Amino acid sequence: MTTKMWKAPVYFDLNEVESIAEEEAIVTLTYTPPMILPPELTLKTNALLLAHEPEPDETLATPFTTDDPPRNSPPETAIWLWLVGLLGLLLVVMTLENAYLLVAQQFTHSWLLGSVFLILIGSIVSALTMIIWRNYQDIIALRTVSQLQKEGNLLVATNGYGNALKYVNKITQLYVQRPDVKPRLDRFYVIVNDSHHDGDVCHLYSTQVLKEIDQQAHRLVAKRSKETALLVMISQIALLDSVLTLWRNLVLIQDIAKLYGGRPSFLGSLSLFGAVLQNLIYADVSEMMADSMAEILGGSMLSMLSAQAVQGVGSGVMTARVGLYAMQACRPLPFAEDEKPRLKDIRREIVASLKKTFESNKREELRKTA
Amino acid sequence: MSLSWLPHNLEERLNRTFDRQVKLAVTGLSRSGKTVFITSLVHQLLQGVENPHLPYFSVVSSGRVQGVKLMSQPDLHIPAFRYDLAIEKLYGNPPEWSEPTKGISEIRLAIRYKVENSLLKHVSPVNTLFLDIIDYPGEWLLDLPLLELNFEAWSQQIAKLCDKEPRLTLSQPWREFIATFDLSEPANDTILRQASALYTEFLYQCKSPQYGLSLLQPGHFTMPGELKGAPILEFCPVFSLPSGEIKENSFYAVMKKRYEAYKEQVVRKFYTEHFSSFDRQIVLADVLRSFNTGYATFADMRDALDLVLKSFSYGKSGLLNKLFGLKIDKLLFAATKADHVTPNQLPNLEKFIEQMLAQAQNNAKFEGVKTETLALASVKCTQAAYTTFQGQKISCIKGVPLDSEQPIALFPGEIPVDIPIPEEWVEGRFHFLEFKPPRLSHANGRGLPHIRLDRALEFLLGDKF
Repeated sequence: MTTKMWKAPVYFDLNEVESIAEEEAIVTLTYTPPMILPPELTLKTNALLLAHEPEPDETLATPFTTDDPPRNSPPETAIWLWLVGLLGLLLVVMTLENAYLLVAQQFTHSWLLGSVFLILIGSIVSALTMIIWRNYQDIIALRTVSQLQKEGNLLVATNGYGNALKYVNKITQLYVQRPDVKPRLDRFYVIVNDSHHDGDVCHLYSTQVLKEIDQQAHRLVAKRSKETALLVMISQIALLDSVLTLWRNLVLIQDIAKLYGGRPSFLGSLSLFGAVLQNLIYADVSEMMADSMAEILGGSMLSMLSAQAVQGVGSGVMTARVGLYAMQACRPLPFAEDEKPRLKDIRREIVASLKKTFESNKREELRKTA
Repeated sequence: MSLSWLPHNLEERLNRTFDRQVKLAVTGLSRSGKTVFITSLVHQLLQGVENPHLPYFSVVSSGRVQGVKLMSQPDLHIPAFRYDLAIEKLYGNPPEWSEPTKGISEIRLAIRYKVENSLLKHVSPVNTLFLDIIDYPGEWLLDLPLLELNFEAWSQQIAKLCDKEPRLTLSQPWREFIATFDLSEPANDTILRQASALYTEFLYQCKSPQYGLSLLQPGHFTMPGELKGAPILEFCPVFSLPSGEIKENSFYAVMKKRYEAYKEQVVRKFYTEHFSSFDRQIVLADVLRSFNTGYATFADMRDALDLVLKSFSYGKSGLLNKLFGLKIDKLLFAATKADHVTPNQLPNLEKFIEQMLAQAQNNAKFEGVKTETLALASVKCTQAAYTTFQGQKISCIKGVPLDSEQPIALFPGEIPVDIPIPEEWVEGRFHFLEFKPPRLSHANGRGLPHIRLDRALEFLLGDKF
């Protein structure tokens, strides 16, 4: 903090002093009525907060701006990339040339045919550019989320003062348009005041605003993994199983990203999928062990019923794991250690729901035989 | 669940078994902000259900509180805490701080909440917790060590304290007076009264803001409560033992008798009647004041607080428990007036008091009492701000000082993380001003602005819901 320099008390001119949070209406500085009228008490909107938000501390701000991903990849991959890029370029050039030739040829026959082809090709090209542009933006958005996560981690770790509100306002930009989150956002901005430290602000944002989204996402993951488990259990074709699971996982990731304020397109969710996969690959081994042990033990009971059910549980848990990692990847404010979603509850739910179907099936069979 | 058919005593016992009553004792050395703390606490809870200002008090923030109501207090012999007067003053025009604590007082709140425990939920989905808040002067806790000391030993201790400044000069008139008469002479009520009056005057002077000393025994001399003017408070320590045989009615014998009576009827009575029934305790201290006056005040305050905390560190196995049976299982030590420092200094303030009380806290923990330190402001009367001063960004606070009408912006000095050595307590290093309470619009609606009061509540009461 810059205040380190000052060891002695200092008085300031009031006019040179700027406020930090929205407390102006509560903590009055003068007994003249205009400052303290009750109507001013309601002045706790986002705009006001933004206006009062403190400037970021230099020492904290710099790491984020200089935090570009390293560009120098090893030469081998560079050659491969070059090759692929050149091949792609060749393809594009060839297609364009062919299209040009086609249109030119049609024009020689009749101007009507020529213009129809021209319009057709033109619209295809513009549609393609639009799709590519949108995907590109998604990837950028995803990068901002991971950057926000980094920033949040640093804020919580250092627990300084005066930087968190600016950070939280950035996250708020993702949610201002959402009617379901708005009341909680408003409440958060009432709660937060100028005595809260960065860690407090992040924690409050997490509990007041994001907790509900977390719960929604958690419910969604539980629901989808149960469905996957059932699907795999019922289906008889192994290949179809894996295709189904993959597709459902992709959709789940997209839905979670939407819940947390992103709108991923196909490419965006693919790169999200990549991030989630990376998490799956490098997951904490001990965590994996604990989970799979429980699976094996829990599954052994089910396996008495059916091998297919075990497969179902397996793919259900996989979906759940993908969902939980997607939650971690999409949440702009990183989870605190005690907030992290746990696999345990979902696994239990999956097993319970499968058992239920089994039991009801058996009962029906018994009824039929009787 | 109605338990009205049970005898009163049994019902109270049942309430306690189901965690339905909790006695929260609030204490602190004088001018530490006890009254304001209780007023703010009661006000926050009365706003309970929809209060957005208690995010860290989980039972409120999770929306489980159904309602909070003021109730008539259970102990009819204890004066009532006048919440109504205090809140009226705070919301008055101009707002004022309430009258300070003079003795013991009590207030009861009934908190209705939804039960979360999955087992109890089916027995009674909505429960009521009766919260009794008891306010008593921290000075009374300074008397506990007297129980182990006889008159001679205590006199020697006081004499040792009076060897050092500023007590040396302040005690001058009293010491000169008791040197004028012979302690083995038959007692004379007028002289006795005068001697004790001079001693009391000396204690009051030590206590004045200029010196700000806290270790003042016996505690009831400066905080007499209902004992004001009683002969049991008319004695004082002596500097020399009378030689030869001590007659029954000599000054010395009478003072010794009164000292013993004070121990039995005042100190012991307080511990048996009140202290032994407390469940939770918060000790408040205005640490910032000691920064202003210098090292002597600081050291004195630390010693006094160590003595205060000793009452708890006697704990479950110690002397106090043998005597009275201590129930307190959670002890919060709070530095009040945290709004008088810039917000970025709050962690420093917390670290400072933690260091200051490390030893006493350790003892209490050893006895199985859960302790924590915290910096809080019951009523936040300054606003955090920042400005550019000589080309550097610097954070400061805005507020109206107690002795002025105009708001000022002030950087009050940096709180050291480590306790400075005596030479470092230089003049003008700190300047912590007292501020006026903020002008508030109306008593209903939003709770009073505060700093970290919700955390204090969570620590003290969070597990009771």
